[in-house]
Order: sequence, then C-alpha cells, then structure tokens
Amino acid sequence: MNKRDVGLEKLLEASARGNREAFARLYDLTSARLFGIIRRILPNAEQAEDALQEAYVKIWQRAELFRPDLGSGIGWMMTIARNQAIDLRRRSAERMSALSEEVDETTPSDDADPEALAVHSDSMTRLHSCLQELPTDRQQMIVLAYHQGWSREELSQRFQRPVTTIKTILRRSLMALKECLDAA
Amino acid sequence: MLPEELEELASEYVLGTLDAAEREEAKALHRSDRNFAVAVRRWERRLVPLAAEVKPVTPPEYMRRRILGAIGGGAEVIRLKRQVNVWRGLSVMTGALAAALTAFMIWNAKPSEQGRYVAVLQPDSQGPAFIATVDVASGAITVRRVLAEAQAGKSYELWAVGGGRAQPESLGLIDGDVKTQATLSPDTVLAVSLEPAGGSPTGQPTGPVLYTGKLVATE
Repeated sequence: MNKRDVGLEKLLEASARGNREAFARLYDLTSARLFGIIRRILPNAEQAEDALQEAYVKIWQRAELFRPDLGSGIGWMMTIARNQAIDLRRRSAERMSALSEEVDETTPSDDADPEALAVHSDSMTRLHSCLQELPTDRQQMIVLAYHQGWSREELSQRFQRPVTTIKTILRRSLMALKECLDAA
Repeated sequence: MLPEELEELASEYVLGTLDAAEREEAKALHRSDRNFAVAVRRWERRLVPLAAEVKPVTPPEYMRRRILGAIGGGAEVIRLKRQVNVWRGLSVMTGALAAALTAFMIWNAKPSEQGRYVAVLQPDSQGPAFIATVDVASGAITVRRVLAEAQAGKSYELWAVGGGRAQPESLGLIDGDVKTQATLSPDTVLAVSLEPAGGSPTGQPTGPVLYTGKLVATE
C-alpha cells in the first residue's frame, strides 16, 4: 500500500464520521479514476454522470463499512463505481449496441494511471500472467466484460457463439483464472 | 445452491455479465448469505487490478457541486443544529440534574460517543422527508415526518443499517411522528423503505429504500 492510499483511507474514515471537507478532498483525489471506469461502461455522458453521483453517495453512506484490512481504499471505491455503472447499463432500457461501440483494447502501459498501477502493481502482474494462460478470445471476453461492461448477449454477438456457450466459457475461464491466481 | 454454483455466480457477478434480474438475485444473496458475500469479496480482490488500469477521465466541474449537494448536510444540518440547541435551551433543568449530567459527561470522557445526533432522511434535492433525532446515550429516537406523503396501502418503515449490524434492523413503522428506543452507535445509518401496509413481511426491507441518512452530531 503506498502513501497516497493511506491518505485516502484516512479521508474515508473522516467521511464515515460525517466530515464533509474530508469527503470533498476524497472526491478531488479519486473522481477522475472513478469517472474513467464509469465512462468505459456507460458511453452516454448523462448516464455516466448519474452513475458517478450514485457511486459517491454510496461511498459517503457506506464509508464506515470500509475495512482497510480487507483491501485498499481505492479498490473499494472503484468496486462501488463499477457496480453502479454495470447496474445502470443492465437496467438501461435503450440497450446500447455493443457492435457500434468502439472496442478499446489499449494495454495498461499505454495509458494507465501510474499511481493506481503502483497500488496494484504486484497483483496486476500476477493477474495478467494468469490471463495470458487463457486462449486469446477468452482473455478478450473477460477484459471486455470487466472494462466495458459487456453482457453475455453482447459478447455472444461479437464472438458469434450462443449465449449459453458464452456463459459456460466465462465461468470456466474465471475458475481457471482463480486456480492460477490462488496458486501463486 | 451448491458451493461450486455459489462460487460461479459470485465470479460472474463481479465480472459484471449477469443480466439485471440475476444481478438483483445476487445482491439479495449477498445480503443474506455470508459465504456468498465472502466469495464476492474475494473475486473483487482478484479482478480489481483490471480497474486500476483504466485511464482516468476528469468529470465535468459541475459534478463536484452536484455530488456534494447530494450527500445532504450543509446548510440543512446547521439549521437543524440550531433548532436542537433551542429545544435543549428550553428544557428547564434543575440544579441537581444538571450537576449529575455534567458529572456523567465528564466521567464519560468520549464526547463524540455521547449526546444527540440528527439524521436528515431526504432524497436528492427536495427538503427533508423525515428528520430523526437520536440520543445515543439513552437510545431515544424521535422521528418527525416532514415532507414525506402518506401512501395508500403502504407503510414507511425505519431501519438501522451498519454500526456493527450484519443486516438492517427494523426500528418500526413511521407513518406519523414516532418515538422509539434502540441502541445505536454514531456510525449507524438510518434508512426508510416503503413496505406493504403494516410493515415488511420478512423482517428485512422488501420495498424500495427511499431515504437514508447518517447520524450527524449536533454539537
């Protein structure tokens, strides 16, 4: 855990006590990262802004539930933001067509946030080496689902496989990934 | 559900590929099944390095104002604090009681754990729907309905969330102004859900959670 993340955890603690200044500072330090995650999943600007707001309201309300012994503050916040964005994408009535969406397959070294990378660098290296043990199309499915919020149906269209097959592939790939990660 | 099925469901929930209905089921399971909640947390940790790779995008400037406005508090709470102080000033205290109280407060030298708190239960921007005042020391809770409208065939139910609870605890129906009693720590969040008339049939929130509010110290 780096120095900056310790700072975030102090700000989360203060937010849990109802300190609005600490929460505002927390927003300043993390909103670009959370918005980056949300924008990939929700290309529509208005939806993305709604999801960002919902995510921060949850962070404020649940700050006292954050447990530093179970993971980093930024990881906890990113998980809340991602869940919010995926909920909105799944509930969204006007389904965005995955095929018309730009597939962003940039690698982390091109554009990642160096500080976030530092926090997660060891676990990131391990995750990538485990992902690389999967066939390429399966790696792509997992990354498209995680980064861009693609559903089984959307993956089924792009990879030209039935939805039920996609479900089986995803679950098998995730279990293989787990075995690899937990063995390390 | 078999342990392997729980594990697979947790993995796909965290990956994000469940459909809307499956996600809702997974969230209900997350609240009720500890093993599932642990499996979800482990999957979040396994995959979260992928989230850290995403390029940051600065949100529009107005979002900061919008979000800080949405978390409540601010002017609203300052106004309430004054009100609470007025109520307190009005209650005439006998010398002996005041002395006893002062002694009690000095003896309990952890002021943030004592004293009165308010929670403003409100949606995004309209005024407060309910205001709860909580005396953590005595456990007394008073709820006033402010702008929430009575709804035919439905009841508002008050819940205590967090503060060491694994699940929300019902504090009763709040269809009018209500006084009740519960042990609440200052890190408890109060929530109001809309339930069938007479309250939740299951003992857990079943309807939409309409309002939530943190306890804010009034001194």
